[in-house]
Amino acid sequence: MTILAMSPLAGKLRMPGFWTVVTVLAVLLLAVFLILPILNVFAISFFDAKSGELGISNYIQVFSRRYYTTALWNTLMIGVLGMLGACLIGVPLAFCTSRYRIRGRAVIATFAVLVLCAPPFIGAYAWIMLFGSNGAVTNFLEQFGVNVPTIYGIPGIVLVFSLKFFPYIYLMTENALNTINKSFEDAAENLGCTAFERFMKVTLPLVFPAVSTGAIICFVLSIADFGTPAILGQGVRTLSTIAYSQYTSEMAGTPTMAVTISMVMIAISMGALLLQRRILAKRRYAGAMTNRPVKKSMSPSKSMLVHGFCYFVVFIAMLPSFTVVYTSFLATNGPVFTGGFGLDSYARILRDSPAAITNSFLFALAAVVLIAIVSGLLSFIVVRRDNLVAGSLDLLLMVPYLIPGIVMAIGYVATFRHPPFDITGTALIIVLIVFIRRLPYGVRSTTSILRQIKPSIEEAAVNLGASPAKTFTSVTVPLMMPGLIIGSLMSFITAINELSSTLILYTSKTITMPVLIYIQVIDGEFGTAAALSTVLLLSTGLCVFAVFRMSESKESAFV
Amino acid sequence: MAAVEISNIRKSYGDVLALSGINISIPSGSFFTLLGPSGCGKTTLLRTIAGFHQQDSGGISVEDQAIEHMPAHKRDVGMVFQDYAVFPHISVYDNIAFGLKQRKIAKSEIAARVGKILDVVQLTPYAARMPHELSGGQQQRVGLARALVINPKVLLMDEPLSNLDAKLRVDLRREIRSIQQSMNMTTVYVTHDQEEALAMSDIVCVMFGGIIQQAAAPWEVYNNPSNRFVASFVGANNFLGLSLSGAGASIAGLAVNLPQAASLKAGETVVAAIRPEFISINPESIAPDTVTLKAKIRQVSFTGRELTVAAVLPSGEEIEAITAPSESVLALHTNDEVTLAFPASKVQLFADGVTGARLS
Repeated sequence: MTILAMSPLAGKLRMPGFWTVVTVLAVLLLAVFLILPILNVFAISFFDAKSGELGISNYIQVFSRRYYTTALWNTLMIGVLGMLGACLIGVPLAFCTSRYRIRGRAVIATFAVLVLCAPPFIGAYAWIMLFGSNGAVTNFLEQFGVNVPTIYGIPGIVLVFSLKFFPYIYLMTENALNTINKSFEDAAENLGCTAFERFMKVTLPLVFPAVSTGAIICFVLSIADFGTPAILGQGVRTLSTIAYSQYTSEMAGTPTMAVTISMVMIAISMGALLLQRRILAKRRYAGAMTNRPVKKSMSPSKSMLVHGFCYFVVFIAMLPSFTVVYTSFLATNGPVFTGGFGLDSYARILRDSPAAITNSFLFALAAVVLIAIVSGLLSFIVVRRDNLVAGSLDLLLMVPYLIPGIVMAIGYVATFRHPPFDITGTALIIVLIVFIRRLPYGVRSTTSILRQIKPSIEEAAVNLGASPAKTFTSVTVPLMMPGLIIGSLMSFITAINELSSTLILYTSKTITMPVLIYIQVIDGEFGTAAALSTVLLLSTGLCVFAVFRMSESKESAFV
Repeated sequence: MAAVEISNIRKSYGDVLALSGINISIPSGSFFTLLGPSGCGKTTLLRTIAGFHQQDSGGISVEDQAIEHMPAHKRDVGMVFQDYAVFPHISVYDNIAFGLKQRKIAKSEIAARVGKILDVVQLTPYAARMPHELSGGQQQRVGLARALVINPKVLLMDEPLSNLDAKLRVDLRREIRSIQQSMNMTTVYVTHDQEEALAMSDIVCVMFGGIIQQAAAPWEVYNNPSNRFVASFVGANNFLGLSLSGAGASIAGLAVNLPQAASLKAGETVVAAIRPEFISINPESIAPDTVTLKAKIRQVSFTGRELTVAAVLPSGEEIEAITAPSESVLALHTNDEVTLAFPASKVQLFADGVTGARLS
């Protein structure tokens, strides 16, 4: 019952309703700020870089020249290995915390969420500070003649991604493991499975949808990430780093090759997502929650082992953040650490770059206000309106997840540089791109709470004489408020940490903290970078804390 | 004067016809019930009156004003919901005052009207409570008060009692009926519970397959069903195959004397309906114009007020009788042979098929 048949006459006689107007506006908004830039990027890739002729010559170059094929290969390898690494950490951790009584499980979950929310590039440069050619651990071990394996290159990038993205796998798998009907496992045991067989043959297949969803997120994020390969790569090219360098070298002309590479990245992400959907289509395990899994206690030695593993994993994953906070309090003189502690780095960022701090907060807040308003209205259309537009909006809101920030930014430059709509170089373009890229976080949160609100409550308001707009503001919005707040906090976290798109769009006036950190890391200014990162970590941590306080499902709100 | 006039309403979802040829005239002040199994279109019709569904064609007028193209919030028809739909974020008082505020009514008048209706639904002590502090029955009273306080032209109720437990359901249905009668409120009530429909209504409208099967007083619908569907849905009934040949009518191979079958042609497929309460078991004397059948007992169950006897005719057809408890019937065992008897005048004949027409 999805098609609303209306007599054509009835439709013409009536004024367009409130929600019809909102739907039209929403479609326009997404068309201009989401679809148009992507279509522009798509179109550019089909005009030859040199001659300007229409054709697929750019794609032939990408798939034939060694410069590009190496990058393509590296990207795929990093994506797959990063995903596998995250699975190898995330799945066992989830199994331990969901099947055994672990002391301080809340601490583990909180750390996992913090790792997830921390700025992605912090990991890369913190590892350099520890294990780089002049790193603290490297120098310390060299005194004893021990050579530390290099952190640069593909192994380092894969390590950082595994440790950065495993929380997606961990949180999703743990949630799935906690909701498996225990009777399945009991039945397997009753039929003669050993504990290991039971895990491989029953438990793991049952949580496979969750694991694979988490894995695909890791893969897509790994291949789209720019900061980590840029900082740790040292000559290892990936699609995102060459897209960026091609873009910066093509500044004068059209960024044709950068765009073509970006399209290949999007194609890979979409391919991965479609593949996962196909695999999942055949696996739907809805079960009544009659028999909840129980957490077992362990023998002392096993308990030590399991606790050790869990804490080791989250400690290593948090190590970059600890390092960054520690470094920020080291005394410095310019870029040089002078030994001892001091607040020099903080003094310097307040003196040299207050704009970056205020910009970051202002842009993120502006984007979040937009996200809150638009996601409230959009989720109502998606959940309550039963028409074709509502269905396609739902799909369209997946797109920002798939489009790497660099691609979106190139699309924005290509789309919004013609007067009178030339907004390149303004704060507006940064707010808008952050808004559109983080909108899905807001919509997802408001959509899920709206699905829990019975439509009859809104119908009752309409029936009592409230217009659709009045019903929305006086009944729907107050009931949606927890979801709106959580969605806003989540989008604030991701908005204030945005790097890949702002790096292309910023000017000296609109520089943000992540961009400045990136520049300082490249310049070797670790002290101020650490101070700025600490500010980011602190604001992120406060938001995480707020979400924990407000959300019933706690950490599962983050995946 | 008819308060609600519905003419030729048609509504489809894609290929599925949800309502077709609906014509209803509801007298002012009457309690009108839409009764039917789930999926029969009764809720769709109610929601179309409320304006939550748009009909494909047809007209709805309330007190001689056409409302079929009016937006839902301007229709002035109160509605009580199955799941209460009490606003969870505001107090009982504010819930009830909601509709009055939308109508820009003066604060003092709102207080007076809300106070009065709180009295009617016996919720005065709960005015300041939040909805989650109320029981299901109390929440539904809020729903009722909220709909009544705006003095709607017609009150719509969508299975308002189905989420409550059995005892409360009976209490509340009496209360709703007496409030409705004292306010003389034209009411359209949706239910799938036939007992509820019979007990509360002035008119019961039986629906099936998006079509009105019969609309009449409860007594009439029960005793004089217009087709086989109504006869089977309202109250319990036995349907037995009636064979017609040149020699006369027979049930389960036994010739029966049914005057109402006289005009029927031989070879027609006809079913004879007899309500369980008209069937007596092993009667001591057999009055004239009585139909008697031989049957074997399958089960006798004692439910307190009465006995339900399930039996099988020689043809294999099952038949059920309801009698006052008696020791002789209670003493019957499975496979005992019994004689079932019922007055020929109580037998109603229907054409074959789910909605087969009444033939007698």
